[in-house]
Amino acid sequence: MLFDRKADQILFQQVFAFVLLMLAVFVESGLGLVPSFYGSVPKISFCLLFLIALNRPAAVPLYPVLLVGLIYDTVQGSPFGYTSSLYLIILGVVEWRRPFLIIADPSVIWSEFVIMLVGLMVYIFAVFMIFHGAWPPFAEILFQIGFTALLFPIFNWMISFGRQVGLYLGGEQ
Amino acid sequence: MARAQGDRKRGRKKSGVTSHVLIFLLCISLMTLGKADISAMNSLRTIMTGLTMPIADVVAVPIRAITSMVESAQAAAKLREENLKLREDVKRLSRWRLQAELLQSENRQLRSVSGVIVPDATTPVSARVIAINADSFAHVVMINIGRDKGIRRGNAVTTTDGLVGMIIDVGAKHSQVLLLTDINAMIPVILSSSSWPATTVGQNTTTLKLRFLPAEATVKVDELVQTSGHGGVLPAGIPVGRIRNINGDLITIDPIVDLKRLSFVSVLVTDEDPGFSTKELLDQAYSPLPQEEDGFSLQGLNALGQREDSDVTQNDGQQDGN
Repeated sequence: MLFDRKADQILFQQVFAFVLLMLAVFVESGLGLVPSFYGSVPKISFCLLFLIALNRPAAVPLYPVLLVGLIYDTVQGSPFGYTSSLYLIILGVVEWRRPFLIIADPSVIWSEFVIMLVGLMVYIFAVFMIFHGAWPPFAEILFQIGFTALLFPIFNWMISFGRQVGLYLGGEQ
Repeated sequence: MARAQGDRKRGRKKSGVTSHVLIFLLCISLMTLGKADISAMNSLRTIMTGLTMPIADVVAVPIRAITSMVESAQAAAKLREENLKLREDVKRLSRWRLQAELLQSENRQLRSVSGVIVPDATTPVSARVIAINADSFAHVVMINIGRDKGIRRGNAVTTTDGLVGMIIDVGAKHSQVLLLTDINAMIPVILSSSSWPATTVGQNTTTLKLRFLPAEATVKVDELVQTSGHGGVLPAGIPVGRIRNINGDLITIDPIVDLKRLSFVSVLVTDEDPGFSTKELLDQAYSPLPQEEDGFSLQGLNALGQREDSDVTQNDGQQDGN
């Protein structure tokens, strides 16, 4: 057989997820221009990565995610590998909790996402203190993480809606 | 058969976890290498920034447009109120202008007799801000001009209000600006009214801290703080901020420039080579880790960069001679 339909589908999903994450990275970067989000833009990429890894784990292999993180660090001037390490933590958590979350209610998924964000916040604090030898700006990081947690249900709803539309149009579960 | 399939699945999962851990360790290594300030890493970053800059520029256009629309709507609501205030301001400013002209003339005369060194000639080059820091990890801004416009590492970046920061990385058509609010930014300054030297230190928030201020110095709330020119990297006399709060030794400053609303900036390009390596100075002033033990203190320096003690000794010597 010349074309493997399943492999093509996975490749399409991977490319789509990569483009989506890249877009999220540049939108986050652009949102920095909005005065209210100065220094604490909500992490859209966290929400998307979590949801894609949960619903389509094959769409987010490690290396593209590493690359997206490196590009983010390039644009933002943060240390190389910092954002990638955050993304890898998210992937690890989702992979670990997937058997439970895949059948869970949206509210349960959201609460697990919030718990993961708290863990990420601790990691961010630790890296900041090791890197800069100073206390991190708590208020800014709390605002960023809090706003991200508030945005998550919207993205979850959008992805669920997209899946329903896909099913209606004859796509696969 | 089923057992073999189960073994394969377990094997795949194990290798997946191993590669996950290995890539995570790679990230940590990259962060450590970046911290070590290896030039290859810096070059890699510059190249990658050059490649991603056009995309960031394109994505920023609609966001900038929406922000501008929202701000315009807000501004319209305030117009009437501001109009009345502006009329008052115009009256006040015309009085101040007269006063400023008199002071300018007096200043020119004083300079001709005091021999104060005027900072090296600089040429302002306008640039558009493409991306502002989205994280509190680093307060860095990307602008759309680079080596093509003669930008160099260490050039001061300003707006009409005052200092924004300084260039830390230069690409062919882009540069990165370290904002004065970044935790690594330490700006030598003087207090405008008394000329006491000090250093502003960023905190990765919207305010700055004033450090290394001599104990005998008096500070007033709302006092202007300006660059001192010490170290030779930044020109003297650029407004940095105003004293916001004094709480014992903890003095906080509000930057004079509204860094949240940066859209266009001016890079002060030095016309001539300063004659010394700015890299070393930058590495001292912007070291990745604060070095408390070897910290450079401006205590006892006056506005001309001379030690107060040496002046006293000289005067004593003169008196002895007399």
